[in-house]
Amino acid sequence: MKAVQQHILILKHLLTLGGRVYWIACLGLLCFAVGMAGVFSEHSELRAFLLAGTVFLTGLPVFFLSSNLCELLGKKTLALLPNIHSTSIRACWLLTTVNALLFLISISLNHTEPPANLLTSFAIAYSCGSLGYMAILRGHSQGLLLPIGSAYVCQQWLLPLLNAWVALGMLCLCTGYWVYLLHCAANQKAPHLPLKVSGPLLLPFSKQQLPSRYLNQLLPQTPETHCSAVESLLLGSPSSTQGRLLQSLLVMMGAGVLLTAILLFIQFRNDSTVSLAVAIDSSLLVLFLSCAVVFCSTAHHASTERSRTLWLRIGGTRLALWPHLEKLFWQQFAMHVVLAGVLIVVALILSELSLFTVLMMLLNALWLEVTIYYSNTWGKVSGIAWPLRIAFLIPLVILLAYTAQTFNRTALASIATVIFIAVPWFLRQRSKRAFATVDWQTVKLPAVPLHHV
Amino acid sequence: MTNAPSLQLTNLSKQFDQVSVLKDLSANVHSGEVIGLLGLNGAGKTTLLETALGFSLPSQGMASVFGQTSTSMDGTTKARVGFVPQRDELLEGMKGSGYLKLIAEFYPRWNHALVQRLASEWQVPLDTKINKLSIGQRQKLSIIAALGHEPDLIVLDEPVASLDPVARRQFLKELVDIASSQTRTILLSTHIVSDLERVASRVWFMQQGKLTIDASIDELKENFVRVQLPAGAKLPASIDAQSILHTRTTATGTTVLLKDWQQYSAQGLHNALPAQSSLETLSLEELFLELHA
Repeated sequence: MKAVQQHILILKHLLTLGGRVYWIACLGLLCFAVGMAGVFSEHSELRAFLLAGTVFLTGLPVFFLSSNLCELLGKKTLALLPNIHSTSIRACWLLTTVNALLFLISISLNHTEPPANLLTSFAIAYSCGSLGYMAILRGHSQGLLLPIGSAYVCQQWLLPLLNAWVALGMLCLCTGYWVYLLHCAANQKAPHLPLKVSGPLLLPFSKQQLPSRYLNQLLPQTPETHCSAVESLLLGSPSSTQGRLLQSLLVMMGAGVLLTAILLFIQFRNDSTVSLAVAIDSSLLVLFLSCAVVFCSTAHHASTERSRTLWLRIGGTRLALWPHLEKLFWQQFAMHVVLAGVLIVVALILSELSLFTVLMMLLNALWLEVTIYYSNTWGKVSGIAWPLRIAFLIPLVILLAYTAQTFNRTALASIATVIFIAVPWFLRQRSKRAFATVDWQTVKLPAVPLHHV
Repeated sequence: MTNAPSLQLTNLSKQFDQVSVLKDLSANVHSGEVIGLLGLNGAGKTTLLETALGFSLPSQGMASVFGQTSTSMDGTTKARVGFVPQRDELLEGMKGSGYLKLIAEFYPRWNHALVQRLASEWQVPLDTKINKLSIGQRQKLSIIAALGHEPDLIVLDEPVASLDPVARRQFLKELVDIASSQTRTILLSTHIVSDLERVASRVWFMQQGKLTIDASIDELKENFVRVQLPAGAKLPASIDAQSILHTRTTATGTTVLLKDWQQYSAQGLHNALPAQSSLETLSLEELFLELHA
């Protein structure tokens, strides 16, 4: 009985993480309910919502559980709890199974979609979920929006372009990653060491300290004694971040090439009529888009990590570094967006994506990055963090409607574009006003011991 | 229950990126002892506590808890250990009561009455979400969670750093109560030396990763003395140079910090000190300051 209670409590914790993700699960269930209404009514177009619900709910094991499991097992005090390790891992597997069953239900109910597309959708949910997991690994619940937003864009525009084999490959890759994570958790050198997941895919998200000389350029007036603290606050120098990003990309590309080779081999053995060009085209597209998403999520990570550190750790005089950080952020952000843009343009050349699609994808990335960034920073200053988070949902709801294809596409795209541009602009204006009264010259940087940062 | 030491360190060393943080530490902690761990920032106190409990693998040597290697403790041994980290690791977003419930579920025994009493006396609002609690309240909750299962070994890493004087006093009272049982062991790291003087039976001084002093409070007071010599006067020649920890000379005289005084005192050396010289025993805080002067 005690063991069952342990499992229930752990499951509850893993699923909710204190309620942070209830609303995401609710959204998924809502979509699922609408989709079910489509199954049992004459509005069969609503069945497309089943797919949307699936994206939310099948993404759960990857990005909720991974993050929550890491948080749970990464704490020393909890690592000392008897049986916490085995209980948590069992709970994770249980939830993964439940989610897989949910997906099977959605397949069986959604007769309008061919299974290959559903499989693709599932794979996309998993891939985007994995990337989102990496983004939120360090505790950014808002990072959830990255996979969800990307999942919708991918689902909407990439579905017809991907073949089932590539989708299956993506699914294997991402499931493999999930299994790898659990493997790490289950087979540590010492069973109760706090969980530290490392691996090539996490490299871009490691904390990096800014080199002192770069810091000194940035903050020439900062007393030497404060440098270490400041250095620790500014996470990720451009050079080291890029280096790690490159490593990560190489791993992803290597895995992609290997996977493509295996899939092509299997494909040709079974069906010699399949077009090689189509298969390669799809694989490359997946590869490039994955890279683009990694670039975006790195920018997102850099921004949220930096702002989180800034807001939570420096205390009363936390604003001192702001102008410098903002400059640094925009430099990095612009660099990542440009790189992501280049990759998407390459994908555009290699595939049949339309210019409109590419534009929407870039807008989507920008929307997520900028809005998340501002909700974390200005939102907290002006007390509108929650309204901002709710504002995130608006374009997602539009994309949902898009998925359902019940509205005029052009009108929806126009509305989404206006929101994508208007909200960050509005936030920027508001933040400018909020900070206009701060006298930067009088704000002094506190000496924060390095180990407290 | 075996007679193995509560905690045993055998030639324990720890390196981070070629930097030695712990250097060949050996010590035993037996049940009923209250050990105070003292040292400057960066002396290696937190690393010692964390390596001793198996949170990181030692580079050399080993640490064992109740006879089991600390990195592979089974559930029964884990249930006998309570740990309060320097920075709390509470689960944000949960309520205090929910967090305690989660923790309690994993232990074979949980003293609900004790937890309720402490939460009430220490004024920890259990119905509030953890991320809404103040740093001090979080620290109190962290301590309560570590004491709820009545562990035989309690390891606390600067637990009072965020507590107000009233809360600190309440916490120390609780520690004294626990220590009075004579069966439970406490290993406490803190910078508030006066607190240690009230509760600790033994003190470990750490300097640059080494355990430089391991002695009871009484031994420390009897063995470490400060001698004030008038200008020009010298210590008796029979005092070994190795017993002189440091010397400070000013225009009015010389101050000498001596160790092993108990041995010299037995030899009647206090009578051999130069005229007008004075000898004073040191409080723990004074000793700490003198050692790091």
